[in-house]
Amino acid sequence: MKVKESFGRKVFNVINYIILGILGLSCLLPLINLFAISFSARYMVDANVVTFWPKGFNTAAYEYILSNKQYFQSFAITIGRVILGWLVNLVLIVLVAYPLSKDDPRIFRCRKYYTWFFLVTMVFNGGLIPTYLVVSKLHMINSFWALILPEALPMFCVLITMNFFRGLPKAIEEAALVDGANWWVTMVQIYLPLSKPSLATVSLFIIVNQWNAWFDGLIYMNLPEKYPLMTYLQSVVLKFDVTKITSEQLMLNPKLGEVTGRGIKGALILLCTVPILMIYPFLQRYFVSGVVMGSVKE
Amino acid sequence: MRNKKLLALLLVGAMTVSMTACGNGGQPESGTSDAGAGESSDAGAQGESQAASSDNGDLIEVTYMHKLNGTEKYVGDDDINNNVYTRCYADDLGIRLNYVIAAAGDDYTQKLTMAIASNDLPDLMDLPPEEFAELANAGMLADITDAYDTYASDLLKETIEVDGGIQLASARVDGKLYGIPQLSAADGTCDLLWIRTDWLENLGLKAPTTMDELVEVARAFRYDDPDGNGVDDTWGIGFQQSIVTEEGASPGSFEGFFAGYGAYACGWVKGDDGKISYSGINDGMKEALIQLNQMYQDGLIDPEFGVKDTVKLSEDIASGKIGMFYGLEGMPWGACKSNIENNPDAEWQCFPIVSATSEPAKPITYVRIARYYAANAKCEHPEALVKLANVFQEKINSIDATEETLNAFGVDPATGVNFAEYAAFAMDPAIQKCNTYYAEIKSTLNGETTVDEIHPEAARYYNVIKNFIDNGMDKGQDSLGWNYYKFIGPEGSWNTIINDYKANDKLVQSVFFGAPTPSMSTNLPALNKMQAETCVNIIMGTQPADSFDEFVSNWKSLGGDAITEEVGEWYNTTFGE
Repeated sequence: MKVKESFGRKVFNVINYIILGILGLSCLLPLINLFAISFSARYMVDANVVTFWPKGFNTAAYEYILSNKQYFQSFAITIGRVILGWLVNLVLIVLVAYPLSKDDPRIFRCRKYYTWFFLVTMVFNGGLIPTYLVVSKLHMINSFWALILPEALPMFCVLITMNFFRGLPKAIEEAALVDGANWWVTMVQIYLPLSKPSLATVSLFIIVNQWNAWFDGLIYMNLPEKYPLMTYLQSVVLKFDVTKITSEQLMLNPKLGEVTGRGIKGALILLCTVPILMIYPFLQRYFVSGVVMGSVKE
Repeated sequence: MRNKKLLALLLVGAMTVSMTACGNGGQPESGTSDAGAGESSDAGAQGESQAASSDNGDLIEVTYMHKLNGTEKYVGDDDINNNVYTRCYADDLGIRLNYVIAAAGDDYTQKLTMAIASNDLPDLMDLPPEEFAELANAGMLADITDAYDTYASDLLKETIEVDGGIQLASARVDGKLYGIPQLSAADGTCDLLWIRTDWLENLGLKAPTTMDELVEVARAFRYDDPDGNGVDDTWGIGFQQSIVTEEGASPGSFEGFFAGYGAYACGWVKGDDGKISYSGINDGMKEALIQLNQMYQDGLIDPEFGVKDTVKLSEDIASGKIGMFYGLEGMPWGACKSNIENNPDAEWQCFPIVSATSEPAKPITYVRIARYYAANAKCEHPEALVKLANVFQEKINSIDATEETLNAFGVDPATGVNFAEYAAFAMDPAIQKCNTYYAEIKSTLNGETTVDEIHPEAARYYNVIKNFIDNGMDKGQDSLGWNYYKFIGPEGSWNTIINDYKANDKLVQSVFFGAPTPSMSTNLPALNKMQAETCVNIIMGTQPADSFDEFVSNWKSLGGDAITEEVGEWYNTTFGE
């Protein structure tokens, strides 16, 4: 059956689409502009005539970045931290969320206190310098682990997982326990397989966070060759200032002058965001459904 | 079970990471020893015996905290701790230089603050002037007076003291030397007047020699359609927004314009009476601002100049909207190059700045020491600092440098990798190398010398320029050749203008270049802001020109007098009267 749309509804739709369209374009156009700049000739960029299509097409900016092994080193470190960080986070999240999801005081007497113990860390933290000192006294400066361990247990993800665990029917767990399974077996063989959607959501959070994190790399890593990709990106985007390159440097090395700061920044931003953009569409649906998952408790 | 798998995975991950982390402990490779061995100066003599034994245990290890340029690029298996320079240090000097902290820009300042706060400073370090003064006064730096006298090669001493040693003097506290300044070549910081000569020709004008002529040229550039496109799209003269900036701002600098009235926006000038005063508050400044206000009202200046930084102004220059501006000697590398690439008919030439009075205009130069190289007081081998600093001089700046050492230790022209960026304590002379290079190139072009006789670096530039001239000076085809030609070639800024400035004693050097004095740290940012706002407001006419006098008295009472006094004291203690 087809319902005829009222006039008001039509007007609303048109305006709605226009507003959403503008919003969408305002997100998309800067990226396209960046794309065009990164493939344009230096002098075209310098004269600020590049809009949404490359002018004087060339790939000098990409050659500049890809000829520097720093990009690949940083890329490898980021891949490493995403994989390892994901594993560590996921294991700890499940280990914490499972016991905390047992709200029956006969099963877990001090649950309330433990919950508060963990929740406090969501609101309060030690601050930059104390955190840095702790990491430094644990001899993690310059170590890959400094990127993993300080953020090993994201409480937000624990909450999501915990609520999801609570939403699962208690009868399943009771049946498993009656059949002789202990708590470990119940968790691993009953709960984990049932909570795959929730874990997928949490995984997406973790992966995106690990990919985007740059500040820890900046303060814990003392040499640029140990920077993860995003730290490298920020150091180039904020620090690579072509106006600071002196004419003597250019005279010495004219190749420096073949690229513009904006071209390099654009190329590097694309090279750093495209990989994560590729996996986003595939996990996007979990993102939306997963966050509210388990929020309604019976 | 699954947990066991995970645990195993974690452990494997941990092992891989720790293995890669340890992989750097480097055997110095002997690949480059042929270039380095035997050439080392007196400093290397004792090091060589140590290097001769292949045992790594003999190497002296020094840790180093280094500020990066941000453009370093490592190829092959090289990295910051294993490259042509570190291998050379190990082989020739027996010093294993270990970079423990390295970062570029503000990140470095952050790392340094962190290291000072946690009292964890390495043996050698790069220190910005402020931190250098702090640490030197606190006794945390090693006295390297003797080390410098003993180990600095003649070449290093020449490089540092070619300016009469004034920059080195700023590194002394109570007569003791606590560091080596990263030298700043002040003579390259003076303003020139850059003009599009094709526009001059189109309008049948000559390059201005006085301020009045400059205004007339600006008026013609603004209203007489100099580019002949029939559209009213050009400005008379280009300025950017920063008026009071110690780092300088090019293109679109105001300093060259102010200099025409004997004033400088942030210069410290020694008067005839021997007293040092701030030239940003003198009377010439007011006259210059009145003139700028007149030009602004006549529409010769882009009303948006107050929001345009050098990058934005460069865009206007590159797209052919601007035909005249004040800028540094290197402009052929920047916006002007982009302009001729967009429009090969465009042509730029630099001219001396013009004067508004009967006195000749004297541009100001600034010494800008970005950092000092210093050794920790706890360091066991502070002399390593001087020994290491010798190496760069010997490989790059020595007259004995060859094309091979330049390729290995400087820029490899084929790949564009600049190996010199790996060097510790790399310094170019306190007076621009271009001074000697332009003369060498000129005499070679005139046939007075041959390519083999001049410094190999100059020879490189000579070849590019010669090639450009031989191919009919087609700048559309060979814009790089045009760069060199306009920079250190026959029509170059060094050849035509700076040479003339220097020969006729037309450069004024701002005398203060130490670490910020106490009152500067507290008051100068606010004073600079006030000064900049007053200048912009007067130019744009939102404030009457007479308010400049009010600004001057405010400036003095709000800390300016105290700063002036401190600058005078600094000058007297540093250069001893």
